[in-house]
Amino acid sequence: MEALAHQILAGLATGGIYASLALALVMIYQATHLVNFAQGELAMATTYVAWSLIDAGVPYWLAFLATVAIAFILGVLIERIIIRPVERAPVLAVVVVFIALLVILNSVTGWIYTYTIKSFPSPFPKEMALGRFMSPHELGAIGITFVVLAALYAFFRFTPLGAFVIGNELKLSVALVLIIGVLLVRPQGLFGSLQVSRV
Amino acid sequence: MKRNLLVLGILILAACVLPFVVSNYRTFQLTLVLVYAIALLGLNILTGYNGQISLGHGAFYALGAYCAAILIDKAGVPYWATLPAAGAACFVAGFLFGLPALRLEGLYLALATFALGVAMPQLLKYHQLEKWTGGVQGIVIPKPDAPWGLPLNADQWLYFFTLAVTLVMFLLGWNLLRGRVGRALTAIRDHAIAAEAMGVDNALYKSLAFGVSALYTGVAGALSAIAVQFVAPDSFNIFVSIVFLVGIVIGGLASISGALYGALFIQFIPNIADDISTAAPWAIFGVFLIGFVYLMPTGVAGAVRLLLAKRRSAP
Repeated sequence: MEALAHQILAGLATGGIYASLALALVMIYQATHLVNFAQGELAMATTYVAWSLIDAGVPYWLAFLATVAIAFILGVLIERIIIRPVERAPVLAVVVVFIALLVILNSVTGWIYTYTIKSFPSPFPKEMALGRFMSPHELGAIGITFVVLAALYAFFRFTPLGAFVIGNELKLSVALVLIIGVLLVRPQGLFGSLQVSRV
Repeated sequence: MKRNLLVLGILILAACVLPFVVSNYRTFQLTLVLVYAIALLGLNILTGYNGQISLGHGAFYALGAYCAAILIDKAGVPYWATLPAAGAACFVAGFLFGLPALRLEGLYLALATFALGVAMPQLLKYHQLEKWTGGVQGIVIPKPDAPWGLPLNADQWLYFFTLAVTLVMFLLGWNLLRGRVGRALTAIRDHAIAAEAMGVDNALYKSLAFGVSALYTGVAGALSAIAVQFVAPDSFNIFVSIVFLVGIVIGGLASISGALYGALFIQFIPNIADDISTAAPWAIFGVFLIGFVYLMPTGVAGAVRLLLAKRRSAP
């Protein structure tokens, strides 16, 4: 019974991470009607950026902010350089470009960081919380998912820029949404360890 | 028309001479190009002509390959006789899958077919089926030798056998797509309601497109099993389906010659990428992909068509 409860709660935490990934996909899709096949690889690549920063001795939360900023820039560059030129191509051609992006990111990350497992530190304390059922790490994953959701809601509901994105009136929106997409996938690092698996 | 036939004749002649001037390994690679060309034509019938996106054609490819391997290994059927059987099995499977797929469109269909592609290797590993499929180990099948005392080695014979099958399949495909059926398929792709109003039975044609498409891919799968002499679940992972999709887009959607261009791309570009960089070959492959889409957004076939039209208009 205890094991079951633990499993369910752990599942919720993992689900929270997947939810933020899915949210990133949905946002890009809503604004551009393109499915970003490379979203998972983008998440993976930016998580490795965070890993290198932490490995180099940067404190966790500073590395977190730096990774978000780097992901932001990466998102803009990808949208401007790779996606924008094929905007008018047939839908399936754009899908192929995303697949290309997927294999490039996978291959380059694997080349730089090798294909072995690396452990990723948790910013949360180690002792169990909630009557032994849930680790602070899992609780943190769910919490961050909620924070991101709330922040996004506020962005779309209360800021003029968010309204523009929803109305798809601004050309900038495409870039912007891709950026947020990349931004969001950061909690992937909360899985605790990471590894490039060969495609 | 006459000129086209001439070009086609020269191409076929060149294809017949090739295995005598290149190494056995190259001949084997060319055999695989022909196999991929058949599979891509199948996917193109569904996705290019009929507008139904499939991310799971690797499943039909696997089904065809296993049909051939099991018939050869367990029932002792001669290799050439497994092709119609694999084709028929895949036609039925494709048609049946096409029925529920009628309710799905665009992304949802892509998702459903993707699920099929992901599930296939696991289904092949299913232990109740191990008696026939050989489980994770797969099945090894012997390589056919040239019959009637022909002075060809096994690789060359297999190449000519595949070439003959490819020509027949392309001829049938061309005949199917240029007539009433082809028009119905493209009408459904371009405007389903208008097609229905013109008297096209959308449900029937869409399921048929699925069936015929699966048939082509299944025959290609069977040929690949015979050529590679081995089938195993993990060689039919989801990446096969994705590579097929890449192939038809790079080759050219809704074009018969596009299947051949796409097949050349998916067979040889990974090799070239490997030669350029052994550290990150797939990154090079990705760069090639992006380059092709930038330069030829409508595929190689579209670019060739454009070039010919330009030459004709400027004498």
